[in-house]
Amino acid sequence: MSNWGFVAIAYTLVWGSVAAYAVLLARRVAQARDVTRALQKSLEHEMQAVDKDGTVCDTPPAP
Amino acid sequence: MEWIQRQGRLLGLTAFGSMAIGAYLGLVWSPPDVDQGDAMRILYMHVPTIWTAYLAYFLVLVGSVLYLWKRDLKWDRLAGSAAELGVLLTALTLAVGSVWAKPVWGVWWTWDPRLTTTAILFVIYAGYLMLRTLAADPRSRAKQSAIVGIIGFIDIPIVHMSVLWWRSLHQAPTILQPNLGNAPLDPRMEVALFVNLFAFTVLFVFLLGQRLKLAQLEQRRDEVLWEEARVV
Amino acid sequence: MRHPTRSLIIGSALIIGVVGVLIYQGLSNNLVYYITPSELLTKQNITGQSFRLGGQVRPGSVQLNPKIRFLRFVLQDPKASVEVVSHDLPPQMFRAGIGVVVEGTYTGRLFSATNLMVKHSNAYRAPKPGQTPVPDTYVDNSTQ
Repeated sequence: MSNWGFVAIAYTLVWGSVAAYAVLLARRVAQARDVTRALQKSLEHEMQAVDKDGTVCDTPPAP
Repeated sequence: MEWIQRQGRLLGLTAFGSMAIGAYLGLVWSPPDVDQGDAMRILYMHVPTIWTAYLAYFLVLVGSVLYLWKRDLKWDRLAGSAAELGVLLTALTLAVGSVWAKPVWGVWWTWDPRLTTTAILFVIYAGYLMLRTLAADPRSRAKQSAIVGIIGFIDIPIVHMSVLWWRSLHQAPTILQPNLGNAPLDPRMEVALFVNLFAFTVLFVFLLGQRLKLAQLEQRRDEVLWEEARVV
Repeated sequence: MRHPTRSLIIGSALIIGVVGVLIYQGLSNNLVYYITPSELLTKQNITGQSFRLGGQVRPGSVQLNPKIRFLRFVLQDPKASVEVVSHDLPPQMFRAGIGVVVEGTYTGRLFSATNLMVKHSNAYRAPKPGQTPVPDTYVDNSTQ
């Protein structure tokens, strides 16, 4: 293999891995945001249900 | 920390732009080395990846010390996020170094002090990341990983000084060497190297901001889960 | 429920184990990565063992026949020299006067290398105008 071949492998390795990591990270952020939002919504829903039942609820509202 | 999380677009665009300029300077504009020919251009990837890995591990150290001191989970998030980037960058340093070693040294790998201590560096922080997935409670996880994050940093000066302390195949440092400011490097190569160092530093800060955002979201998700468990 | 103390023990044991293996692999019998020709000549009972020898390729000593994959040169330090034979073609940067590390065994007279590695300096220079950088494959110009 020529010197340029090794250079091509090295640069592709670095840029490819960094790009793949950045894309994967963006997806992980989007997923975590969706899950947190959905959980928060269902939590608010349940807390309202508990309140209507007249049960004492000392849980502070979710941030 | 909040600032780099908010400035995602600015940092991302700056990183992308300066990486493109760095690639042009490294692959086209700078001359080949008189002995190594074009294989020397791998330097412009090899040095920035290990520099940003060192930076990452330094932030792991800072986050770990501040967590033990202030007991604020945001410092644990900094340490955990920086460690993930550090492990990625160390793996890239080893892989790219190996691709450089083959045409220049003649082998892909050898157990030389610099290569051995760098492999140890990778294992220490890969172990640190594994440890973070093992513990269940965020507080005990933060405490345990802070201790490992502080002890693990001892390897960094050993890696850097290994080529000066022991006989090795790896060459001595070109920039961070005893005769600072007098690098045995062609001026055009120096420009290409510093542009790439800048580009990778901005890229690192950008990725760290995104990773911190993820850590924050995951922590809030876990808090909501706990809350829900208490209500139901 | 997972136990935090147990996971700490498992995690630390894993890290210590792998680090230990790496240190053993890399540094145990070779805390000194290579020895020099003068050190080799003072050593007894080293024949038969595989070890690394490092030094400079003596200018004018390189004999290379790529057809039968035969390489012979003298490896020297300021005080002593050892003759090295190898059946591998050297990497592109191999030339008279450069630093090399060879892996192999010593017969008492010849060092038989199974692996040859070129040590380059930390200096990077551009070719002078009109000068071309080294070619991708080794060209023997030591006999010219």
